Amino acid sequence: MTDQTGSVPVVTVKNLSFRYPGQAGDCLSGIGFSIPAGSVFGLLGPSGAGKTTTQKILMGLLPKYRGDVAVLGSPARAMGSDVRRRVGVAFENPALYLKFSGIENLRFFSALMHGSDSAYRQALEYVRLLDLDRDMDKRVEHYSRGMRVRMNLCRALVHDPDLIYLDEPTAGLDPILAKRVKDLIVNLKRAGKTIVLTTHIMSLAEEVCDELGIIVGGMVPALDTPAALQMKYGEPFVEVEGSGSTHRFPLPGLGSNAGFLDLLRRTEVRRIRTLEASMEQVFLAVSGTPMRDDQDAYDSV
Amino acid sequence: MIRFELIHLRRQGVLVIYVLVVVFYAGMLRVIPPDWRGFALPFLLFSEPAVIGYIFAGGVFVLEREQNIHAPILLSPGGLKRYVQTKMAAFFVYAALSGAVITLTGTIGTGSAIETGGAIETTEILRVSSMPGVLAAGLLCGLTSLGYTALGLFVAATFRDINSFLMKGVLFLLPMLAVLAIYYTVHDWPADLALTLLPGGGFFLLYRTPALPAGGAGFSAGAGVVNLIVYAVLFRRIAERRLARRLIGDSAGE
Repeated sequence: MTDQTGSVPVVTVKNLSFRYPGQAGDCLSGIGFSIPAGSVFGLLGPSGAGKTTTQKILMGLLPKYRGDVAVLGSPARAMGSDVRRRVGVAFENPALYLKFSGIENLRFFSALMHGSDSAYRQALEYVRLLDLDRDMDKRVEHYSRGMRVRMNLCRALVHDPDLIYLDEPTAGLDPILAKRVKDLIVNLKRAGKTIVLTTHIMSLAEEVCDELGIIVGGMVPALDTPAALQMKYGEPFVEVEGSGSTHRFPLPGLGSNAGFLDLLRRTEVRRIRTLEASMEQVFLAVSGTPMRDDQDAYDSV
Repeated sequence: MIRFELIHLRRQGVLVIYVLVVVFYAGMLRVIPPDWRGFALPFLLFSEPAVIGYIFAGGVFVLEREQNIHAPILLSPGGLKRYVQTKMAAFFVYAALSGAVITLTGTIGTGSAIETGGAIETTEILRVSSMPGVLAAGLLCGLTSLGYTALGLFVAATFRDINSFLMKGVLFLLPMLAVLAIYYTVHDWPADLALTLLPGGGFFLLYRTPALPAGGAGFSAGAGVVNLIVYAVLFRRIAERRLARRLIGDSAGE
């Protein structure tokens, strides 16, 4: 099975619904999307919208779903060990042995995930990239929150997985380190890895994601590329700023718009910009909920 | 994986407590009158792998939960089966070593042989001055620990916090107390039957085997091994199922 681009989707979700035991209504209601190999898919949504539930279904943690969910060619509810070893997960709360050093954690999880020596050596490169190499002999209990987040990311990558789930990978990081994590995500994508990113950092989602799905109330009302979503939820106008005046022209037919062309000829143009929405505006328009405050640290990069 | 688990247990302080228990038990064996040693040794050896392993397997599980490490283990290729097996193997090592050391240091140089308690007279069954006797005691402790380690994981996964585990989890040790009571007070076939059926009864069936005549020894050894293996497998399975329910439930936000 291939998607519109001709590549085989790593994740396919069709008509997925889920209800937690004891709850009256569905937490997810008939959602669907597919994630091609070598792409970054952003899963956004306000708290309680269903994105964590979706991720857990994709990981095989919640097998009692309705609909079709295939991960690396296997139904999510019946993933075998061969599929599991191709998946890496960096949870929002770092999952590390506190009494082990950084290097001991990497070795342990490499063995746990049946990772190869070459994958382990590659993970040491990630350690260096994320500025942890001088702290690898320290026990994790002595790490700061930011160090644990970075170590958690290296742990998730230690066995060179093909499909990587990242849940708030820049939480608690200063702007410089958040930038390094973003660069790492881009490099992983270039290396052909498929990444499912859950984040509240809209600018991170905009920069690294090939496609975004915004979950609201258990449904996905917005699913497209960041640029397409920005255009869809923005105004289809071009704003031309000249000396002392600003003019707007509709985007459709812009090349033959006489007023626009005339303005370009007779005015010294200072700036031309499209009036697409920012990702924050898209998020707000779709979900009706503002973002969390931790956007600021990332944006100051 | 077992090496990592042993390091993990050591860093969590489990080894230190095992050493303290070994020192205490061995010291106790050396100070009590020689005539009582045969009576006390099986009690101490049985309570050591069973109670200590049970409490610590559960306690370590609770500590691990606070470190969020169960989710990646749940998602790993080996999954919970490998997790439980690794715990059982690591506690087997601790129990076997401590059982052997208690037996060796608690009795060596005393000039006395170890004897059983009143249930099957005072027959000499385990000459601890011989290395095979020490190794057999260690192996017996290790085998008994397998089931109790898995039971400790099951109970820890059943209760939500460490207090409930410590308070209510004691109830799960009642069969162990029953085994002890039966071994020391019941005789002949009712004791054989009860020890064969109760979890941990295999420890005493095997412990007394060397003192029995050939026919009885065969039954006792066979029933003892079957008892320990069956309960180890049974407790491992229910531990895996309860852990899966608990950890998936936790991850589902229940």
